[in-house]
Amino acid sequence: MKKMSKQRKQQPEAMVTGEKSIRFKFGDQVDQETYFHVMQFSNMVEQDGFYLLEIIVPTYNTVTVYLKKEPSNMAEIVERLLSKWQKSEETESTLSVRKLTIPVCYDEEFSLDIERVVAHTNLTANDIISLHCQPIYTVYMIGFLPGFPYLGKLDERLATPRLHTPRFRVEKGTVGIGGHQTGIYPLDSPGGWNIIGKTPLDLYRPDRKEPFFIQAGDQLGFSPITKEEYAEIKSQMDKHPEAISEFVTMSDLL
Amino acid sequence: MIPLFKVKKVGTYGSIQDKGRFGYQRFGVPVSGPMDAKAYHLGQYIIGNDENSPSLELFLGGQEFEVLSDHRIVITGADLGVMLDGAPVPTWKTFTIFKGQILSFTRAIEGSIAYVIPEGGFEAELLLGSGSVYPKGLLGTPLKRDRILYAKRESGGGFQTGLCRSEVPSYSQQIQVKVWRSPHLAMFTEVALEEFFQTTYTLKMGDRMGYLLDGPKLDFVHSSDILSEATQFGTIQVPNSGHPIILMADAQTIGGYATIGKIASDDLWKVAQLKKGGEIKFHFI
Repeated sequence: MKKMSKQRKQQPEAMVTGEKSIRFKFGDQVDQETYFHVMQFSNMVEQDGFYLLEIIVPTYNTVTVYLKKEPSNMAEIVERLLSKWQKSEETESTLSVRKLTIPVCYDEEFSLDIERVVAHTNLTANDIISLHCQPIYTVYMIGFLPGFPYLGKLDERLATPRLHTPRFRVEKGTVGIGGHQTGIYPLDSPGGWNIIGKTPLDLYRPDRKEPFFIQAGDQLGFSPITKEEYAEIKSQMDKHPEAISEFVTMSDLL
Repeated sequence: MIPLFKVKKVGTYGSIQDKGRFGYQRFGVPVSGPMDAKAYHLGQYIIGNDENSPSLELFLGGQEFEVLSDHRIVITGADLGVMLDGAPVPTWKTFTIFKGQILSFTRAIEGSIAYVIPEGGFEAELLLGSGSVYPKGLLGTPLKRDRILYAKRESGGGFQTGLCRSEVPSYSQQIQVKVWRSPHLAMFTEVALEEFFQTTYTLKMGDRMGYLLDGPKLDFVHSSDILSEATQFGTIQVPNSGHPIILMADAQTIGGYATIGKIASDDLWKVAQLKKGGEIKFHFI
């Protein structure tokens, strides 16, 4: 297990935002250090597992803790979590994360807006694909739609403004670029992102044992596939939805 | 499973809701559940159900059902001019409906949302642990014409029970609500914040996701854009348009706009029952 790089432990700002919610905020930046703190703090709260804990919602720079009911001692709960965070080990902790490899077909059949991206970026279609597949993206949070991942960080050269008029329906599995962001639609939905590809994986299936393929904190990579491979994976997934776990490996967070 | 209703008219909107779908917000799934938790819980209490029994939530009337089995039910929440075979029926107390009768919700007389709760609750498919319908997330479907709604079990035919009149909530269309402070207040101009708490807002339109308010445009020091963070039922979000939106039971789990605060939970039912044009004033807790 690798040790996490030494970093100063940041004390979050805590605020009670409702009868059952506490918001912890770690600065104002979207960066790796903030992300480490958000993940570590989330893990600490989850492992603490006090009985009033309902769920936590991590985002770029905040962790919101929801309680099952309104406690009589809210201030104590906040104090206890803050002091536990302060005392927890700084340098010895490691984070084991899931690494997902998302197969994406960038064939022209699925890349409806590639010409728009080509025109805007002055890159060739091949360059766009390889720049999109190169990074390992951090899943900062899930929202907007069930299972929709907010990813960081798209190569700046690929940034392309959203469509002027959003499409009425973007199919689930669609991979797109919207401004400085990239993402995957987990459900058929209206959407204004530039469509550049499609994955045969179902990111969200409420009837599957693991309904959500992607979780906040995952590391995610795209891997290009052919139309034939797309069809093959799609039919395999339709027959064996649980086989989606083949696309997950565990690794230590660097 | 007892066939209870056949949907003849779907009306404005209707869906099955239980207490809600807890524990999936970090995956982007709203909590859902009743818009007016007070009317929902009182209804379950009156008829003696478990508090998580799936119930039918109806918006603004227009719905019509053919009764398929004799059963005991209770109707709570808004007065939607409910009729059984054309004759008015009591709300906030149980009564027995008989096979072949027509139960109709004619118009919103007081409030906007009513609950129909059969003894034992409706049958509902549990998706992610809840029977609450959230169509956008493939979690159930709203009322559809000709659909059959099933009760979980036969009616035991117990005594009729009700709430005494003094306990029945009334649905004022001029309300005041308490607000928990948001961490984003510094993003609004001082004038905007003052204006927010002095203004009487009116409800422009709304659904289970959010209620849009009409009032003066609120200004920001820079803009309303924030790094997206958690939102919940009752969050008052103000997008760059400057017009507040109250996030309701199907609230998105995270949002990218500045918020003013969150409405106190025990005031949310009053907000839910506002009709178009209803008035609302805010003050900090």
